[in-house]
Parts: sequence; C-alpha cells; structure tokens
Amino acid sequence: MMIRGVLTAFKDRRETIYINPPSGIPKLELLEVWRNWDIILILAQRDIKVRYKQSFAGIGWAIIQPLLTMIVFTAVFAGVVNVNTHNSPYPLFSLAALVPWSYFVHAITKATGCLVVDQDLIKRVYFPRLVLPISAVIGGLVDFAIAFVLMLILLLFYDWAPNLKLLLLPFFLLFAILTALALSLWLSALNVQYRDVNNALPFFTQLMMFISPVAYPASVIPEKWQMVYALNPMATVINGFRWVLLEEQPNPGIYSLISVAVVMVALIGGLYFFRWQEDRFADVV
Amino acid sequence: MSSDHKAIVAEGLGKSYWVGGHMLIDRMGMHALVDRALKAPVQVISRLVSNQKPSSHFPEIPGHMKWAIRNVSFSVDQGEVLGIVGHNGAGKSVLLKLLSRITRPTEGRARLHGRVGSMLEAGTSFHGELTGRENIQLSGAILGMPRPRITALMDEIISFSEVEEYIDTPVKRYSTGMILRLGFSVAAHLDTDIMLIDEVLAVGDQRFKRRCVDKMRSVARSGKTVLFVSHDMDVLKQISDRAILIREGSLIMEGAPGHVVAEHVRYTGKS
Repeated sequence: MMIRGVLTAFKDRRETIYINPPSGIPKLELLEVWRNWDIILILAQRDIKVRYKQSFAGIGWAIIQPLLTMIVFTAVFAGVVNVNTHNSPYPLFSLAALVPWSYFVHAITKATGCLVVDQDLIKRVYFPRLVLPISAVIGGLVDFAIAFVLMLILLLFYDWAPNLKLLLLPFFLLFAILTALALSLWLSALNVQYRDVNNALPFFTQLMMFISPVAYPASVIPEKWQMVYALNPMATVINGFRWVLLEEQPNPGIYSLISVAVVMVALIGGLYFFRWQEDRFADVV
Repeated sequence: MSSDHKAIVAEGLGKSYWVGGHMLIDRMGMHALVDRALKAPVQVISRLVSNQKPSSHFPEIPGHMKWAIRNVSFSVDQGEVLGIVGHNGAGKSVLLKLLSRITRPTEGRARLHGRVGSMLEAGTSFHGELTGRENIQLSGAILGMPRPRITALMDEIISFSEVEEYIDTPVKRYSTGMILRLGFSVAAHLDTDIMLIDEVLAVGDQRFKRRCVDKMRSVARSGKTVLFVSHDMDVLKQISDRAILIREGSLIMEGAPGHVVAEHVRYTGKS
C-alpha cells in the first residue's frame, strides 16, 4: 500500500499551486518567468507587428529618429559649438551614443505603460506579470538592431577598421538592457496606481539625456564630479559603446563599477517592488 | 484518505474590496502612504487657513470594506466536476479569479494540484490589428499552450470557430460574435489537469451556443477536474457530479446537483 503511494507520488509530477493572501517579503519566482519565455517572445512579436501596421515608414522609424537627431546634433555641436570628440567625426561620435540611447528611451517608454495597456490581460488571465515589462524591454531590441545597422553603414562610410574591443559590445548592450529593465520595473508598477508616471516620462527622459554624454563627451565633466556622473548608468553604457566602436575614445573607466552597482541595486529592488505591487494590479489598474 | 488526492482544496477563502470613496484598496499599502504624504501639506495649510482642529490623525477615508466572498471552503476530487450555482454578483466570478490566480485572496488559502487552465476569457487577449491566425497563437500562448501544440491544433481551432474565411483578416474587422467564437475556440482547446469554466462563454447564436455547451460537456467527461459556473440549471445538473451554492459571498449549500439547483430555484422564486 505504501509502495503504491510512493509510486503514485513519483509518477505524479504535476505541480501544486498554493494560493495565499499576500504577506511578508514576496518570492521572486524567476524560474516561473523563465518558463513563460514563450509569452515574452510572442508579446514582443505582437508589439512589433502592431506598431508598424498601417504606418507608411514602417520599421524605418527605428532609423529616422536617431538619424535626424544625429544630423541636428552634428549641425549644432560640430558646426556651432565645436565639441571635443577625441578625434572622431562628430556624426559617428553622436550616433554611437544615440543608438543605445534611443533603445533605452524606447524600452522604458514602452515598458512603463505596459501594465495599463494590457490591463485586459491582467484582469482576465493569469501569467507571471513580470513577463510584460520584460517583453517590452526585449522587444525594443529589434529597433536597436535596425539602428545598429545604420551605425555600421556610417562606420564603413568613414573607413572603419573593427578591432577586438568590438567583442565587448554585447556586454555593454546587456548592461543597457538591464538598466532599462531596472527602471521599467519601478516605473511600470508605479504607473498602475499613478498615471502621472507616464505623463512625466518624456520630460524625465529629456532631462536624463542632458546628464548623459549623448551630445558631448563624458570627459568634459570635471574629474571630481565623475563619481557622481557615473551614478547614471547610461553614462557608462554610452562611454562603452563609443569606446568599442570608435578609435581613440577613452575607456569607461573605474567609475563604471559605480554604474554597475546602481543597476544591480535598482534591478533587485525593482524585482521585489514589482512583485510586492503585483498582487494589486488586477484590482487597481 | 489524505487531502493529497484532492485536486482542489479551498479553506476559508475570502476576498474584500474597498468600496466607494477612495480608490485605495487598503489602508496599509504603499499607495496609502504616498497618498497621505502628498495630501498632508495641503491639509495642514487648509486647516491653518480655516483654523480648525484636525479631526483625526489620518485623513478621513470615506467608503468601507466589502467582502465579495468570505469563508468559502470546499474540495474537489481529481476527475470530479463541481458545479457552482449562484445569482449574478454572488461571488462566483471572484472565486474563479482567486483560483485562477488573477487576484489574491484577502484571507484563507487554497491548493490546486495540477496544471490549471481557465475558460474565463474569450478573446480578451486578442489584438485588433493582428489577424485571426496571429491571435490564436498569441491567445494560446498566454493561456499556457506550448507553441508546438498551438501549431498542431491550429486547423481544429479555426474550424471550430467557423471563421475560416476571415482567418487571415485583422480581428478589428470581425463582428463581435466572430471574435467571441474565435476566443472560445482557443480556450476550448486547452488541455490542462484542472479546468475552470464559466458558462457565460457559451456565446453566439443558438447553434454555436449548443456546440459550446457540448464542448464543455466533453471536457467535463474527459476525466479532468472541472469547476463549472453556469446559469443554465439543466446543463449544470447534467454535467456536474456535485454542486455548491454561493449566495451573497458565502457558501451556503453543498451536495448533489439536483438538490442544490432545487434550493437555488426555490430561493429565486421566493425573492
């Protein structure tokens, strides 16, 4: 009898779901998010398909934005102000920053609204809610890839010779993704209760661009302020992109460890914050 | 018999909502804190201006807690079909929402053994710009179907929905009935150990409705554990092994479907 019980238990590998009132520190259950990777991809796919339906320029928007910004920046900062670019042509210098920057802005904008946009799903189907901001941040990579092709074309136009530093590019891209995700977890969860977050976001990203080395080199910041400057992880992302793509650019330096620490704290904190707030999403949104 | 053999065990489940006045769900959450922090200065100033004594330490929050369901305990054996009877607003949907993990209980607990699928939503995960086919993939994935399975079942889902002709047209050009049929069709092809079914899903004209009910019936007979909410007492009596009656958020009766339905009908006739 007992043996049969054990055998049944062994054969019966179905999962057991426990339903409890929310209490204490939430569990992250990242494994469950991983098991729902399919949903992350299919939602990202949906967003990409939907965004460019009934649009004339279609996916070309991913190029138009950084390209036009680059042209305006070049006219102002190379033509009028004459910024020190460490001997790189200004168009390259700015595009190397605009490509990750556009991704970042696009990803957090999409992710901040994701829980509100998909509220019908949240109210009617169960799946790990973390799937939504993750999918928004992952989906933005398509735009990144297209903008990056533009970057490569421009590099070749300037007789670019790639070197081994290029192998480090994935790390800086990953860091950009994690930065976007860390911020998105906080913003998306807050936006469920306070739609102000979505309204303030364009203003916030604009301010953030001024404190990121997009139009100018990070080296114009005085040495004693470099530590504070590195609190903004996007500074490290952009310095990294410039360093691996262009020649004669300074490396991101030791202060980038500060950026890494900021992102790790924001990411882990964001995961817990999101999971803590998650229980209310279906009731509040 | 230990409760290990039960597919579903619910113990004292309760869910309360904050009704009226504030949009706050509870007084303890972060929202309440931020809310107080933001409003405090304004209140202090307004008190100074109007020279009034503060009435209480915290701002008054009008409204009250309302229990949508409370103290609901029951269990379901593996392979058993449990019918849930009750009026609109009695708390049946809240119960299904709790069991499908869309929202969490305020008190009590439940345990479900096996993969859970819910046929509670028809087409809510659809996106108007996507075609019927694309929406099947999307909806299937969100309901928890593995991708290869969706591909394998694609033709069957399409043919059940009877929208073959428009399957590659964006769903925004569909009629409401077509969207609901497609939505039901996806949900009906879920294959999980436990199914939570809301009969409201049986939609469309009489013929399609009959097919929906037939489909639910075959799910119920397939050996799965089923929780079945229905307003159609005849269907419920046919399908269920056992039934519970929920009235004003409380479980007031449990037993043979015939008895429970009779009590429900008697009460309905009285009121």
